[in-house]
Amino acid sequence: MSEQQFLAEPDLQFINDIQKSGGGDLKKCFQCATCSVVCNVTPEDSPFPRKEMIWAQWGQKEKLMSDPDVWLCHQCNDCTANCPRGAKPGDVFAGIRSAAIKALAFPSFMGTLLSSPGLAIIAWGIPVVILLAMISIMPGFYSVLPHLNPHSFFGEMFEQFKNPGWGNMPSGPIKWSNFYPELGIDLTFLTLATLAIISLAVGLVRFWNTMEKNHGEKGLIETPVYNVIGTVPTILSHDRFMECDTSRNRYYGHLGVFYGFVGAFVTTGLVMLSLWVAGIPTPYTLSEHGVLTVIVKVIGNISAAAIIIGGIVLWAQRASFKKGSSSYFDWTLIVLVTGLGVTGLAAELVRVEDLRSIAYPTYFIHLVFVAYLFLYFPFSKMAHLAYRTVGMAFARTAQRDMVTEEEIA
Amino acid sequence: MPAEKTGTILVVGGGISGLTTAVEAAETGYDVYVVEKGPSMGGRVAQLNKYFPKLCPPTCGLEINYQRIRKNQRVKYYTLAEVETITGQPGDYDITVKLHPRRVNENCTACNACVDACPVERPNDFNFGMDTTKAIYLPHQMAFPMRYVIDEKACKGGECAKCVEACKYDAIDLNMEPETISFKVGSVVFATGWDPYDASKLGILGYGKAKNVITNMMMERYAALNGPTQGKIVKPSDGEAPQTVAFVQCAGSRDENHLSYCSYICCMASLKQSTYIREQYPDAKITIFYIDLRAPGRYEKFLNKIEADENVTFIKGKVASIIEDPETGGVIVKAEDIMGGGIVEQKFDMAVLATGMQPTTAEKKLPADLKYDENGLIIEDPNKPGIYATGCAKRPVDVTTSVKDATGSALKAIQTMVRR
Repeated sequence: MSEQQFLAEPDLQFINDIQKSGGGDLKKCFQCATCSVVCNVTPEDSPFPRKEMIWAQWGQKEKLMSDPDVWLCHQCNDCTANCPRGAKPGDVFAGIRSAAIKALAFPSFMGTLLSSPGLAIIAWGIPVVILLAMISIMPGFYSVLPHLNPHSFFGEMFEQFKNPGWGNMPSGPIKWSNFYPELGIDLTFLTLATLAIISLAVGLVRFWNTMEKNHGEKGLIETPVYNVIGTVPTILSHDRFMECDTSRNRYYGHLGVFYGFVGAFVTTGLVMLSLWVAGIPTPYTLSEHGVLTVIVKVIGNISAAAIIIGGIVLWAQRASFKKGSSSYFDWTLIVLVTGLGVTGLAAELVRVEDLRSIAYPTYFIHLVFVAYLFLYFPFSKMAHLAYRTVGMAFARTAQRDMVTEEEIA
Repeated sequence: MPAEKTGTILVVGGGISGLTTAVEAAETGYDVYVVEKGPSMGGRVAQLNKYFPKLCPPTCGLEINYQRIRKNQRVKYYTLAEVETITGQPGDYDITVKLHPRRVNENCTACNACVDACPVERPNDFNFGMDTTKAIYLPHQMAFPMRYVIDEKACKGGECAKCVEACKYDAIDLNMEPETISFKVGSVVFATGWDPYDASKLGILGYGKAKNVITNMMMERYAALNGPTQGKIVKPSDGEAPQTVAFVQCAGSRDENHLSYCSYICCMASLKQSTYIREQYPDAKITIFYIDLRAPGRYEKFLNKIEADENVTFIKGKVASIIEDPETGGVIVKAEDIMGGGIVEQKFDMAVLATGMQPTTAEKKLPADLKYDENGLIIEDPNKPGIYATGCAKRPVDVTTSVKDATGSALKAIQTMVRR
């Protein structure tokens, strides 16, 4: 090794963060490098996770934050299963990733909010409050655009006071727009999405810059956009998950959730387009609107099923892998994903079955999950979607990712 | 206070620790019973080719101890014997010992006529199954007592009895029955030693799957003149000389999934074994994969000597995958070269797993009130005199340390009787 002196300057808070978010056993590592050998997704040159384990022990925050390898890891847990010390590299990596999401968060207090189990009530309370506030101002929107909504929220409330009990909701078929008009809902969530995209963009630019500064030794090739596009086949095929030995089932779980979300996104987009472009309001009955109805219903329901089944598979896999542990960060995402699917499907069922007593509360809970997803996308584990993609893209840019190597060869 | 005290010590185990405890106590003037479960004394040391760091053969040290026992009337020893019960208190224990039938009595002159007559073969456990013996056999060339033994599982018994006909000395009794003996002792020393850790439990290291993966103890037997190849180190697959050999350190040691502790001797054993190979095959190339090298005290000089050998390469990084090379029948060994900065996937003719020492008490507990740690090693309780453990029953150590420890244990056993 070089004779150059190196001052470690450990960041104790960062070590703490990693330990709290899954990497509690990281100091047990004695650098035997079993992990780097059993890992099926690491590049062969400067492999992970052994080197990250010592960086984590020594609190090398900048090295870890700027390390694309942390995001090449798919937490197969082959390392954890074979670790002779119970240091759980898979969990440490999950901890590093959540600590990195927290550290790169903009604004930074959001990182703290989403990574602290003690603040969970506040984190879940905020979307509840936002939604209640938005719904309560809906009559204003309604009066501006009366053709969109025959009933106002307050009107419904009034009805209810007159006829106590959820069962006495407005007559006629249950329509979510009775509760929360389309314009309101779209404006609310588009606003949340815009804020999330801005926050995420700041985080990702910070991430890219620090990677470029610290890990570009081999020289950078091609543009970031080109390399982001290059990651798409890997992401769509989920072939990295297929490399895992220990947690092979995660492939199916993650695939279900991933494509479930893609489907849900497509469905939502179609519904929005058909409303605002063609003026077709929801809900559709099966006899209406021909192909559009079929597409929306088929994709929507398959997506919901995929999210729920995928979420349960991921849940079961985490619960059954005794050697590893799962952090608040992990469980929040799994609860969120499964909850989104279950409440979404439940809302549909209660609407179709006309279960008036629980229809609107179910829908409200579903909206809380959706709002949580949008509002916290850049600061929760959901952000791995963006950070992992960018990390993988940088690995290609820095001629590091093994997929790139294979393609070159 | 018990009125009558006995001045006798029971030593359980006839390996280097037990033998040393026995002769040290006997030569100090105490009576000793040695109870050995195998057919011969000598234990694991008898299986070694050479000691480190002086590279002398262990037979020499064992022979000295055997002579001391032969010359000393105070030592009584039993082979194929197991302690069944220990009752009583310090200074006054009642012992019962079960003697398994050897089926060969003291008339045996080790003439080998029975072996020539015997039609049945059995895997030779002394050589880790790498060769066979007949159902009647001499445990090994340096067996003590120098007497044949019949493997009751392999022997066809009375229907065959060819050995009985062949024996001119009336030394074979196929109907020999187990018997139980009892005696009194004042203190007990467990020198129950160790077994090599079962390498077939190390799935990713290929033992039992790739033919040319052996253990360090198998390497001792290959290199030993009384081994399965008369001292020639060969590849198990084809009996040819290996040109490249990988040593895989910490194979199952320092691993909470196997042996959670460092076995202390495996680094030195591999360094020593690299000299066996270099001596036989001057052009052979050796690579030692390690996490940390343990060469305490004066052993460091030995390490330095091996490090200076340009045919021996050291790679820091634990091997975590060994598979058979389908083309050559050799092995493909994979590790991270931590100092070099990358995964190395290297082909070798054979790989030697430096497996550790597991106390025999890991599997089978002893008939005494003893404490064990989570690995089955005996924890001596300083507040409980009378029953002691020595050598590798307590912790993994080398022969030198075992011998020193055994001397100390002999003294402790004596003190139990003298102080009361």
